[in-house]
Amino acid sequence: MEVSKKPEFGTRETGMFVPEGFFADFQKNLEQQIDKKVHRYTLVRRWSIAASICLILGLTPLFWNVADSNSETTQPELLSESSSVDDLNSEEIFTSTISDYDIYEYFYADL
Amino acid sequence: MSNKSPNIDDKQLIEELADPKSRRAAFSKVITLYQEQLYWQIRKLLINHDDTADVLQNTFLKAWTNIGSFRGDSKLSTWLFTIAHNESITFLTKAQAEREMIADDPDGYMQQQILADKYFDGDETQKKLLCAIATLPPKQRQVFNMRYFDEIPYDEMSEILKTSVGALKASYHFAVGKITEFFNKEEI
Repeated sequence: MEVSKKPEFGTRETGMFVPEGFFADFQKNLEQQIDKKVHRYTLVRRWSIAASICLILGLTPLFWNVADSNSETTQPELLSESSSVDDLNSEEIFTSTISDYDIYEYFYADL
Repeated sequence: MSNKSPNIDDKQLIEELADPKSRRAAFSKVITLYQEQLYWQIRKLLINHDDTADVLQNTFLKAWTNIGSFRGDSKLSTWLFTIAHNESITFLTKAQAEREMIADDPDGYMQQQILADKYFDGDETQKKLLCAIATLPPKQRQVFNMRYFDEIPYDEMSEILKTSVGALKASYHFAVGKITEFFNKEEI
C-alpha cells in the first residue's frame, strides 16, 4: 500500500465547495429524467408488440387464401365469377367441369 | 477512489443491475453512492460548478443507457469514473474549440473561471495551485488531479484512463514540473 506523501504544493484541498442541498436536488432531477426514459421505452415496446401482433393477424388470412386457391373445390366459384357476363345456362357451368376448349367451342359454334 | 470509496457490496449491486427487474432500484443506489465522488472528479477538471452539474448528469444518463452492457469485468467505480472522464474531456474539447473561435485569449479562460468562481473559499495558495493546474492539457490535468488530490494508485488510474502506468507516471512528473515552474514565475 502506498504511503501518503507530504503534498508538494502545501495542500491536498482544492478550496472549492459545493452549494448546499445540491446532491439531493441533483439526484431527484436525475431520477425523474431516468423514469421518463423508462416510461418512453416501455410505451415504445408495448406499441411494437401490438403492431407485430396486428401484422401477423393481418397477413394470416392472405396466406390462408393463397393455400385454399389451389384446391379443386373452389374452381366452380372462380368460374362463376369469370363467366358472369354471358347469358348461358349458368347451372351447367357450376355443376360440370368444363375445359377451356369447351368454352371456346360454345362461343364460336355459330361462326 | 481507493481510499475514499463507499463501503458497499459491489458484487451484489452488479447482480442487481444485471437483473432488469431490480435494475432501476439498484441504479438509484448507484447514484446515491457515487454522485459526490464523480462530482469532484469532474469539478477539479472543469472548475465551474454549473458545467460540472451538466457533465455529471450526462455521465449518469450514459451509464443508465449502457448499464445492460456492463459485464462486471471491472469495478463499478472504475466503469463510472471512465465514463465521467470521457464526458469531461469531450466537454472541455468542445468548449475549447468554441472559445478559440470567439476569444482573444482562450487559454486564460480557465484561470478567469477560478478567480471568478463563487463556489470557492480557499486561500491564495489553493487559488494559485488551481490556476497552475488549469494551464495543463486536460488529460495531464486529470492525471495530476487523480494522483495529487485523490491519491489514486497508478494501477487503478491505468484502468480508468486506459493508459499505461509508465505513461501516467511520466505525465504526473511533467505536470509537477510545470506547476512548480508556474509557482516560481508567480514569485518573481
